[in-house]
Amino acid sequence: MSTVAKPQRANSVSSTLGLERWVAVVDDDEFVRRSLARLLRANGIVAQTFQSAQEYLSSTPTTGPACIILDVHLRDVMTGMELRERLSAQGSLPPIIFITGQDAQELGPGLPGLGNSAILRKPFDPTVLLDLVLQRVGLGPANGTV
Amino acid sequence: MTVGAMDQARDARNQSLRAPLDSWPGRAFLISTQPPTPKQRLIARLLGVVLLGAFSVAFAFRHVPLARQDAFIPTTNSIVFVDDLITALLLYAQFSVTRSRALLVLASGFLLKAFIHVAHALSFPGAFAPLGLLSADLQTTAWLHLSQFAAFIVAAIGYTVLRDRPDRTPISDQAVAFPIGASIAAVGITALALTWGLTMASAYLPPLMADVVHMSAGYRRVGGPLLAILALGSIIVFRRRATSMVDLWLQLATWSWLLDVLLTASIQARFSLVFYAHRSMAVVSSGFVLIALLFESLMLHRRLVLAMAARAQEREGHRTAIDIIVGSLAHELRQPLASILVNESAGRILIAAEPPEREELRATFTDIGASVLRANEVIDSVRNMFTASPRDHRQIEVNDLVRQAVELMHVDLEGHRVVVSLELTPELPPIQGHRGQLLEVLLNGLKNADDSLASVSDRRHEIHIRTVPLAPNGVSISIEDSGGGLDPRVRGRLFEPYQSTKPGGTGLGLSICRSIVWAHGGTLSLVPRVPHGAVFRVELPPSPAGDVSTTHPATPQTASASRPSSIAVASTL
Repeated sequence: MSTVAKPQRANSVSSTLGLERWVAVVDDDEFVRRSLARLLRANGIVAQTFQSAQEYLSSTPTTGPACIILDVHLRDVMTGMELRERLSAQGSLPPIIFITGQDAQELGPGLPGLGNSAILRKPFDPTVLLDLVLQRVGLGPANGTV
Repeated sequence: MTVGAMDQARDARNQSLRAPLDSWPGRAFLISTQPPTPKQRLIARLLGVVLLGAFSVAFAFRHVPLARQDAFIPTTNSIVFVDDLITALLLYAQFSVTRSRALLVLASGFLLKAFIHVAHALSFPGAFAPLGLLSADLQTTAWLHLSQFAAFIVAAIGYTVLRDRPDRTPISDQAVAFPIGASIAAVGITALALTWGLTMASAYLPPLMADVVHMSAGYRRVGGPLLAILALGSIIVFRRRATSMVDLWLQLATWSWLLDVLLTASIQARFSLVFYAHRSMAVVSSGFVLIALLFESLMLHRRLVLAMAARAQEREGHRTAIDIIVGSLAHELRQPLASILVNESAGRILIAAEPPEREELRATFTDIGASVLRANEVIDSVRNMFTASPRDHRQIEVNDLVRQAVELMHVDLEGHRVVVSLELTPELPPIQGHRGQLLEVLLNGLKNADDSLASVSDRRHEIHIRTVPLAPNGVSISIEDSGGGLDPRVRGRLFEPYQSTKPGGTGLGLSICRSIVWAHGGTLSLVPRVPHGAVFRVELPPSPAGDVSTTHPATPQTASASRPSSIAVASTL
């Protein structure tokens, strides 16, 4: 189910990032997952998609992602929040950009200490997401190709 | 209340009154429209028998002379006056709502009877003046007495004849003060004219009294046949079956009136036993009628208050379901919207690339189109859940319904870190029922379970849903939670309106759930679970015992064919 999106353009940012710099997309919605991978890839960012927290955890990449775009609400056993807790406990917590279909007030006080994380409500402005990703992977928006 | 709101309320009522009164929803709350129960009919009959007993005793000892009490007539007449006045007011109030001319006639009759009793007391010899006030002579008082009998029976007959006749030209609400005012004025004028006329004409009328105490020979000769004619009129009242509480109590009043007439006809002299007895009977019967009407009105008022409370709670239950569905709808719609927006953004970049990436662009457009269809499916699935008509009973797979309810609550449950486990027996017998209504019951049950978990911090938040077959061919659905359980203070009254353990809620939405389940011929229970929490259990029989539509007026009634579809189906595409 996971898709490795290869860099498409010669002058993409991935050449400066190196192939080990990649972004994980964890969302249970197939269309959301695919569109995000497409957007990242079009901007020259390597992306890998996962449909559940389990799938992400069971994958064994050589290097962890530079950043995770993570759905707060995952349909399976583990939610986005729980995945974050798990990663935090494992000491391998990359920057996380949460995305959610819920209203902000519905999320309630459930997002304490996001730290290096951010949260976007669907449908979000793709350029805002892209800026956040580029910041997280080490390139400010000024250096990006957006 | 603003003028606009009043206009609206009035319009609504005018609208509803244009329909036959039989189908008017307010009829359950008016003594003039609510049919009497068998118990009430029995009570009325028993009272009739008691009155007959009192009559028999009085009749047997009718000639026993008793001491003259001049204060007796003013006293009894005052009581009858007040009773009849209040009865008339009650009936006018009924008229102001139903605008039935029959009620207006009856109210006028009671009012006239009340007024005549005043004139009768004032003119009664020895009461206020040795020969009575109002320059009445000996005969006036006796004629007034006969005329109050006539006033009652004419009104009762008028009411009985008119009551089942539809009003051809309905009295509009704006004009309701006019008929009442006109009726009161007409009754007042009639009472005055009657008193004056009987005083003026008494010389030309057959004498009823020989002296202040004794009846004359003319009393038997003229009064007897007059009373007999009036008594025969009561047959009209008795022949029609009482279809409302007013009808029933009017029949009882007519019965006691008839006994009073018979006693009156047998009077030979004032201040005999029968004289006192017939006035006492008038007092008792006017009191009976008033108390009965007041009691019934208050009972109906009580019912109205309870119905309003239940209604408010029903709305609460619906709102819970609506909140859950709207929340779920928003969440499900935001997925395709997000993917459309992201695809659009990606597409702009792909089209600007040199050379343009045609294959990827084509896939992008395909995904955008698919996302739009997906959003549409989400909307359709919600519509299909609730646009079925209440009469639209269909085969329901209970396990599907449970999954759908959990799916709709999924976002909330996850936000509260509730672990839902399903233990669904495969191949359950299908249930006949209304899908939207039963879904509403399950949503309310899940919401209660979810809410009761909010206060729990020392154990896992768990909801366990189990479906099991129930012999023969029924299904039991239980929703168990590990939450705070049931407050012992409200345990026995959980299903009553306004019983809430939640600070913000006006009720648990349980009474609506129970009426839905009952309408499906099933049972609903909420019992404590050991060691923590509660069990919400719905037991449904294989086929409904009653008509679901009659108990669930608030369900949207847009007729539309419902296709089995759900958000769960849509979101896993």
